[in-house]
Amino acid sequence: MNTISRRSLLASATALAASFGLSALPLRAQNGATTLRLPLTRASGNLDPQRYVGIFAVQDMVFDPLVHYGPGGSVEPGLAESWEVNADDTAIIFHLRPNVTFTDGEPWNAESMVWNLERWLPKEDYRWLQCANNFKEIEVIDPMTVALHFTKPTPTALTELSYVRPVRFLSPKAVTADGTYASPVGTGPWMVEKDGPEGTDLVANPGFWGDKPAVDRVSLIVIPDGMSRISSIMSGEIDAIGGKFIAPVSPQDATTLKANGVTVVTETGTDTMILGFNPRTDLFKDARLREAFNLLIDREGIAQVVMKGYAKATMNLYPEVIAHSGTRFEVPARDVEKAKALLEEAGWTGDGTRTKDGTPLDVELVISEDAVPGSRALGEVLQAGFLEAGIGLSLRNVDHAARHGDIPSFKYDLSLFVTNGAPYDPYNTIGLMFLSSIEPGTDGKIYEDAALDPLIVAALSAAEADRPAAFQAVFDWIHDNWAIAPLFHGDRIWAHGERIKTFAIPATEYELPLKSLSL
Amino acid sequence: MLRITLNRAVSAAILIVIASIFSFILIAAFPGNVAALIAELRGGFVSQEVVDQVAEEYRLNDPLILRYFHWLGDVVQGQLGHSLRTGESVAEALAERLKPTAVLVVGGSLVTLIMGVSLGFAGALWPNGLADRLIRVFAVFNVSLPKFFLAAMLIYVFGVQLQLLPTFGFRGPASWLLPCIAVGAVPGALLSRLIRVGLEEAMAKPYVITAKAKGFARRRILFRDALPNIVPVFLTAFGMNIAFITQSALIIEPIFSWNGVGAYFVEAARFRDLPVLQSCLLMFSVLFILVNLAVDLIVMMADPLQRRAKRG
Repeated sequence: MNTISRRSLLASATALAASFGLSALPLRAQNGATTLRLPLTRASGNLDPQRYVGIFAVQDMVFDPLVHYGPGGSVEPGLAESWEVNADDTAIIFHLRPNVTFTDGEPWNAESMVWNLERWLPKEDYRWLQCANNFKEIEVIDPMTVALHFTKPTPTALTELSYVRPVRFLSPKAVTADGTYASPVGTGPWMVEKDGPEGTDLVANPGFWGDKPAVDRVSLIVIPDGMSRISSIMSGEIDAIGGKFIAPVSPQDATTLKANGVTVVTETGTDTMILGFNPRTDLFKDARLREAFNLLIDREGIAQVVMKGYAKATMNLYPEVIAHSGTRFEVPARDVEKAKALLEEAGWTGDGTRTKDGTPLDVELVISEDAVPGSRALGEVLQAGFLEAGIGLSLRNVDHAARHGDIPSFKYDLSLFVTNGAPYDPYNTIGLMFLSSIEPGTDGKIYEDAALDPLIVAALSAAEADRPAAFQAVFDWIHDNWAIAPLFHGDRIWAHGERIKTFAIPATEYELPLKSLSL
Repeated sequence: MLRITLNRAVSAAILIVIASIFSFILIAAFPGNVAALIAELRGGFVSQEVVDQVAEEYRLNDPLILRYFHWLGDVVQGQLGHSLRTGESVAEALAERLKPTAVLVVGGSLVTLIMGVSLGFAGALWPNGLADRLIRVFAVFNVSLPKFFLAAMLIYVFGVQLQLLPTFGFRGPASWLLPCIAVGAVPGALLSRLIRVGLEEAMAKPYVITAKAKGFARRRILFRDALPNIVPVFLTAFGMNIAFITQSALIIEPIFSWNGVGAYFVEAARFRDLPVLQSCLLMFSVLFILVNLAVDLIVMMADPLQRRAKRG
């Protein structure tokens, strides 16, 4: 019988351990000078720019828009070198950028532009965009000049044409015979080299018309677990992490990363966390009740404790970085006595949980960690604050699918909402989540009132010069009627390792910080 | 033997059908609007009309029993359907994701086996000595640890602090080590206790006393007399642990960013992707039942007493 001596066993075990150790070494050596490694929460998926499946950031890398969304809502040239908007906002003439080709060699011109626009602009499914809703016709003026005509003033059109989807441009040859999307071929700075469930590798487009990226390759690695993303940046296996729709960093994560010496970069967010009152229940039709709830919220405390200082308390619908976001409203200090007085005045009386005509003041807050991360902790803080004034608040935790059923059908008393942020606001949130004449989408309505509708319609169709005042009228109505309870503008958080030398947070949460980044 | 095997196979088939019915009902009964999620992926603003169209298209409004038989009919024909979320073929996606899960189950089982046998045997070799006590403390500590915490600690120590092993990804043997330890350590600790206690009990049996009286060394008695007698118990426990390890893939795969069946299941659960969930559950049920069937048959082959008892 063959026997294994103790010495040979030890030798084999050591050799095995060494082989594992050595095979791990390339981990550090792999950090090639110009390959940037970033995490994604899920695989890139189908990147068809007209579908809503792929990861925004990857679509943004491959496909260019006519115009880009810049900081503060400015509109910058993209595949359109310049443009002219007519006096009543019913037409835009685009002068297309010359000498641009798709990465498969197809030329960028009026023909390819029209082919792309016809894939979505006249279709019913895209009516949530004002430019699609008001679409009249496309006019080809010459091979490099195209005009878009609308049935009515559409001042939102330029901003909408900077979105990631469905407005980006695909090569007309990157589809099958029946017109179905086949491969990710655009004019953007990056080309997809490899794509799968583990991640997506992209290489710089050598023929890109704009500034060349500072790195040659980007490797996007799927790391679904938040804790693993934190570990991988701390171990140096990835270079940066962040972006709400890319690889989100929570305030707690940011605190951990900072404590471990990782560079954390922040900027004021472009969205707002809001506590919404169900506008279709009798309970919240009384403005005194809405005011009392507003006064019971400790916004500064929430920003400092729940959000670890990575948020700014607010009473505004939009943060200042959003165009036409209006004047800043004063954030009220928590005033329990005034709230109690308002509740008494509204007929809610008694010790313990208040009652009115025998009905207790028990309300339900729908929370969903899937849809609104951090909503449980926030709900618990609100619960404690409301209890002090005799309001019973129960938390109902639902997942993304259940929230999609309950919120549009108004099956809640209170719910947490987040505004759409850049580049969608200031138009999308008030258009889709406040206007009562439009039926609620999957995100529901933050508030609705027939008296507010004309103000919103006026703001959405106002000419540029009148727009600030028109938007301000909407914000004033919402504020004066205590229609919502804005809580805070959460910071945009990114963290990066030592390999990154220059870094700046991009204009939206839908793009990677590649333009400003160098290794 | 053949009759017993056939009986077991029939029971296994019935169990698979029962498991599929239960899993289908449980998943379909979850609250929430899957149609709205699918509609949202197709286009921007989702009206109730669009949601209703999607529900009709995917037969989400049909009675549960009809939906079950529709699904069962497809499965019998070898079609696992298409993912509601991505539209990809579930069978193809599962085939793509089988390798990481297989590596995790085989690797985790090896960790369980090596840890369980070596620690259990070492404890029995020096009963109540320092090694036995240390091993007991280690086993209890290990069993008490949640898997995700153990995985996090392994990542922190070997990935972040020592930077010896990768913290994520399915990238060759070095990247397999931590996930396999994370899934195999807890069942390994359990198995070590079972072997240790089994051997201790066997050492009190008359044949051991006879062997001792003949002057044989404790180590020889443990190996040659006690160990073969605990094989049936060990095999049954090991079989159950394989099921436990497979189930652990749901937690461990997402933590280590492995795109296996476990991660696919978790992803699908978040979206209520019924065809994917059903197929994964069916696969897990079949694996669980087949492993148990195999263990039963092996035990019967290894243990003449059981074979006789089954024959009645």
